[in-house]
Amino acid sequence: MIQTLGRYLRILVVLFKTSLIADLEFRANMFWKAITDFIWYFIQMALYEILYLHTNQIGGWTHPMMRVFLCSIFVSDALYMTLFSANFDQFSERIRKGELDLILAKPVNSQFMTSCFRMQPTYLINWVFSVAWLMWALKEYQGSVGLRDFFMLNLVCGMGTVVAYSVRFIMLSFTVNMGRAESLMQFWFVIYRFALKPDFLYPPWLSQVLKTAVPMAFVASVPAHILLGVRHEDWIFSLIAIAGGFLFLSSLLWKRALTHYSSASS
Amino acid sequence: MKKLLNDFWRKTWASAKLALQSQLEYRFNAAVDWAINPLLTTLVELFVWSRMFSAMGVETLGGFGQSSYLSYMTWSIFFSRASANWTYEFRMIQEIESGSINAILVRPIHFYEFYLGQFLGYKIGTIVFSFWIPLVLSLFWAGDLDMSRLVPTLLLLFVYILFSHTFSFLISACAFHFTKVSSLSVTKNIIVWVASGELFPMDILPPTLKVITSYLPFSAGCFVPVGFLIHRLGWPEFLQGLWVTLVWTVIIGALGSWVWKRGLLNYAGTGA
Repeated sequence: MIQTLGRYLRILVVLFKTSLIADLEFRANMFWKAITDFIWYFIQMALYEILYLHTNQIGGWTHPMMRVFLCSIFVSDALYMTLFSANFDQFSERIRKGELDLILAKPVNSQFMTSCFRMQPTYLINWVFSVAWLMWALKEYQGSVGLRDFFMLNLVCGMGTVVAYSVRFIMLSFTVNMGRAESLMQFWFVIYRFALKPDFLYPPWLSQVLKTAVPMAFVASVPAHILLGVRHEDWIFSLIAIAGGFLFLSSLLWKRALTHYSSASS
Repeated sequence: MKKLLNDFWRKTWASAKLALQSQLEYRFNAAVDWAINPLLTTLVELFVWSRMFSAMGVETLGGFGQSSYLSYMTWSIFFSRASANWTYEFRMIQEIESGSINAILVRPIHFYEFYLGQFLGYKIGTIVFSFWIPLVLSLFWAGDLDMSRLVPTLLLLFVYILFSHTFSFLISACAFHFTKVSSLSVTKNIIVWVASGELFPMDILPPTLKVITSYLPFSAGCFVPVGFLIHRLGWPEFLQGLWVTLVWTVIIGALGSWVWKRGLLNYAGTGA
């Protein structure tokens, strides 16, 4: 077990290095990618800055609390963009052109290779920035931050990334046997909109759905609640359980999808 | 002049039909793209913003009551989908980066014309199959919508689609000069997403920013047509939006043409 984990970690490091070399070939593009994500972060923040000009609370949450929520989204998003986004965006094209076969033929777990084949190390800059921003937002809210806050935010936001990854990968598994499924993959962005707002905005029945069947509340809303102390730290166990459970489900559904997969090439 | 226009129309329509046929090869994908995703996106946004109003505990937001704000969101999603050009912009960039543009360069149709046709064909499907969504949902906020303004609004939409494609042509022409321009494209599209009024109406911006955006063409993609349709804006603002878009289309078109010609001078399409 430890040997296998060590092996996959070494492969991950190699994939990261090759992705970094590929990114560094086009340094201006690398710079622009980071800037683009920053612009998206600022736009999300600006929306709430404008809304708070018209009110001093949203659902009982003050401006500093909402900033913590938004920064939680940014940290999860930066990790997701670094590790998985490029692979998922190209997934439909890979199937259509038969490039998925090359990945499936490798002597490693196919889900791992499909998910991590091509990373985007550029977004690590965004992750560093987002973590710093979240630390600042927490300091604004609670007065001081320490090492414990740093570890806690990385743990809860990391689990949020795992949830986002699992939900997206489950959706991708359903598209494996379709010739062209870009529009169905766009459906992910419709679901992701639910993660961009705190779950208390939704009615109780929807909030329950977002914590169970479609756990988008665990991407940023629940982590933010934990960091703000609105929910007890026991919720961390729920977060880890949901992340682990959906990761396992994504693996099951992926294997099932592959049993019906027919290659587009050769 | 008449012959030139006829030729332009024939070629553009031919590539538009090609785009429609290409979309209809994968009918489920087309149905999701043209009808299901727009419907779900609209319902999600309406739901979220109605809850947002309740949570904020305010009656109005930037002069919008809840009903008129939701009416705005309903139509803004339709107009922004009808004018957005992410897909074809990426294809245009990829054609130039990969060298497969050679096949278009040797044809008796300009790259701009070909992709304009493709873009229009794709948008015909989007507009025809998703137009019913805001129309039906507006029955719930009937007081806001003025159907007599629909025709000029659709005219503005067409002009904005022309501007959107021209801007995409400029961005894609940069692919001759830079090895990778996809990030530039994404940056531009995100800025357009905000400046068009899709994310929130320009009315809730501070006054200085509102004035600046009124002289940029992007608000004609969403804020101006929707505002005009739901009686937020009058004829002066509508005509200003139309005029500004036309002027910027000419400016961006001239710039795009210059960048394209400079790029072709240096382009060597070997091995494509």
